[in-house]
Amino acid sequence: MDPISLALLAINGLRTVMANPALGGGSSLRMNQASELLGILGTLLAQGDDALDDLKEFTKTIEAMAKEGRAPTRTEWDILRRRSDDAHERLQRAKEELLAEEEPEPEVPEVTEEPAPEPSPAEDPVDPPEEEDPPVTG
Amino acid sequence: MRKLDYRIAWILLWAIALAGCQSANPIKAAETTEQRAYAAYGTFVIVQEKAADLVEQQNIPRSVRLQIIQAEERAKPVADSLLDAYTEFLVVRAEFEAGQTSEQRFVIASERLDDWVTQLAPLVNELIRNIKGAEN
Repeated sequence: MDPISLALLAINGLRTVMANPALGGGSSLRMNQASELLGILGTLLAQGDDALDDLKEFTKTIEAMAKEGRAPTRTEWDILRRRSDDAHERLQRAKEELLAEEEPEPEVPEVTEEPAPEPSPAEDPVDPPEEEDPPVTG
Repeated sequence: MRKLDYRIAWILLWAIALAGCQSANPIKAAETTEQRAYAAYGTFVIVQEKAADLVEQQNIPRSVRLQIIQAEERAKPVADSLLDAYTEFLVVRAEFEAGQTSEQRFVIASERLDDWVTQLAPLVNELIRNIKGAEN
């Protein structure tokens, strides 16, 4: 069994125990929340994609922070906040586009042909003058 | 003391759970309240960015993309509240260190920050579930 599968198995086992008082788990809010936290991790592990890679990188940042015994700086918080705002904006933009797709098209009024423009005098077809019968004389 | 017990138990659980993947656990790596809050918020941002990438993909069904967006909309206010609680925590801590406020108030601010960390967790989890659904 590969390490990720093993970790998933462990997570699922822990979640089951934590969610079930009969198995020695608790039903307190904190226990449920811890169970949910394990769920996040399990899902990320199962996902096994670039989100996990990003998370690994971020973990290194936190590890370094802990090793140095320092708190996150205001700049670091600001960077995260900006990234969050950017991602939120992208999501909202996508939402607007998706909702716009759903909106029924405005009722199109019956197409009425525009009245033909009055022909200009120059374009008037000129009927040839009818030849009048010559007056009968005498 | 009870809080300390809880933290030790919590970290142990994470350590066991991550036996196969020690390198991807920001929250476990954190050692202080501030680091834990930063780790939780950062995890949210990483997942949020992943969500934004997915909803821009036209090949994912519309309903799934909307679900991802809704999950993010539920999590975002809690993440923002975590930021507010962090700001408040910094103010109270500075006051406490200057002897201008009681230890109790500092402890309350610290617990409030921890509470936002735990409140964010299930919402991030929901977002991840939706992301996972989109990718399957």
